[in-house]
Amino acid sequence: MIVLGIESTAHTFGVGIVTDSESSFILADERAQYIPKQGGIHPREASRYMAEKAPTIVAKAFEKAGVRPSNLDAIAVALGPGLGPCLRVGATTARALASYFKKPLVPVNHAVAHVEIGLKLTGLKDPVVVYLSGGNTAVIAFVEKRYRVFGETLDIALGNLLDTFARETSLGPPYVVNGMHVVDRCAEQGKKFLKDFPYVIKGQDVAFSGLLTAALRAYKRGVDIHDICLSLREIAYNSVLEIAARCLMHTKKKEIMLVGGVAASPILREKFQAMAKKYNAEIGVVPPQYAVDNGVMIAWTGLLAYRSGIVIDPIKAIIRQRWRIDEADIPWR
Amino acid sequence: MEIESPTLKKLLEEEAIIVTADGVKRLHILSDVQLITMGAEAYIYKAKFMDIDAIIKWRFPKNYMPKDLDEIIRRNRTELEAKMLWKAHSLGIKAPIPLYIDLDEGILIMTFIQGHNFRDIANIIDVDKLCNIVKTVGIYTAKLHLSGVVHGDLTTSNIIVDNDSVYLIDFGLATISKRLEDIAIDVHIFFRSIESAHPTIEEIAKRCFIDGYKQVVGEDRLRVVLKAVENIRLRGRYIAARKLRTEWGF
Repeated sequence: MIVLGIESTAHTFGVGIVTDSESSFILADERAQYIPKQGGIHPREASRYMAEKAPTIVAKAFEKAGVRPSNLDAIAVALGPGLGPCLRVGATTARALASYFKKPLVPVNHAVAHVEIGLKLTGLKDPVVVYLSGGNTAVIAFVEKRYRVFGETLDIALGNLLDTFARETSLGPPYVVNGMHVVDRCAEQGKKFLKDFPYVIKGQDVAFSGLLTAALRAYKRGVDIHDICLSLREIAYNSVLEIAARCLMHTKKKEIMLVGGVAASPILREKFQAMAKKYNAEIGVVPPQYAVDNGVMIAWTGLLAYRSGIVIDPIKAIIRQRWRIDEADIPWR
Repeated sequence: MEIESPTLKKLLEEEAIIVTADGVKRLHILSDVQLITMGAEAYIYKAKFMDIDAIIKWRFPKNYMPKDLDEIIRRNRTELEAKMLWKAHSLGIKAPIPLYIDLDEGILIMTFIQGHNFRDIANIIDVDKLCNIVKTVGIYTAKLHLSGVVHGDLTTSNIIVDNDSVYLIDFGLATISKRLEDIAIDVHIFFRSIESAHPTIEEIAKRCFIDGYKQVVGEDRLRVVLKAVENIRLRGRYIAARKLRTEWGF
């Protein structure tokens, strides 16, 4: 079975082609990433960029995979969650391909895809999933047919916290240099742990906005930025570790999987490894290349869904900007 | 089994002399220590403390945390938990009774409660019993809230059921607050633990909780709290209702 998947939820337009054979899993993995000249992602600019790149990326994927559209069994597309204008580019591309080549169209939830590609690549069976990216901070576990959110941020995401702090203090952009976040790097020279920063855990949820405010205030007061970076990072990372540990104990699962762009942080990974050891759990980290947005994860999840009979009429395949992971059915598990 | 904590080691060796009308008894302050579980932040042991069935909660040092932060958190939570347990008792809420505390090491010893963890039985007990238990939890929660305490971790794992008695445990994340926001988060956390771990009983559990809560605070206050809970829920990621609100301006 060969499935093509299209990703366009935020800054990356990606096309992946995968098969269900173990020996040649990924046939193509083409991406184009929109990098803003300054500030964050502007949805209109990002979608314009994607619309320009889409035809080339699709053509490249077919070329790389050495398959023709007629060889495909299905076409999968991430219909959400994400930025509306960007999602529409992917959805339009997918609908066009599916109707023109008369192939079944498979709707995929972007967050589910992050989890599924992680399971495929780490070989974990039933982990507590820690999903950390620019826009997401969530602890997720599979219970009763769905991926359920055990804890999440009540305000801003972890990646958002680090990026915003870096931006406001001129540490970035770029936010990640040589695989390390600028806040992580700045924290290396931190010596003193600042005591007045809020550490907010509410049940299984975290909240970072107060921490961001406290850090920025300290910066304006002229406190050493390295100390601020250190305190900010430790509090932010450890509150995520704590809710992950809570979920681990609550669900009695024995594995932890780190996924999403922020999961690439080597410091965060070390901490999780130490924590997993303490709790006797196995840890799996999704390789950075597939921890960020890509078409392969959409194709793979589309393949799983298609095998379980999930298809959508192109006319009904409209995007869902706010499609929560726990609203997606997972019949293949 | 190896006990790593110096305080616990010392208690295991020390003896107490108990004088009663029947005579004099010598016994170890602590004995029969058995690890029963590892919680999210602490080791939980069952033991005999001065001949009483007890639970030892040891917030162990976390090597993945900076030492300063770890110590502050362990100390604060241990102290707060003991205080909050007393507070709960003064309100007529069934909870463990604190027996011994060591803040430097993060140790709290309290009475052992015989019974089932609600999380393990929630999906198998019959509906009436389920409703009664959750209703009691609603009453407890409302009583705490009225006197300015939020539990902070009101999940199904933190409820113990022994025949007809319902106990609340784990006050480690409790705070003193009368802010509507904090109160609503308490209720939100309970609802979410039901939704995520027991989706099949979601409707009845929520209804009975609300019943119990209303019994204490009254209809008007309940409405205010539930409205705040709804607002918190809408703050989560990718909520469809929020989109409508922003698009249509209501």
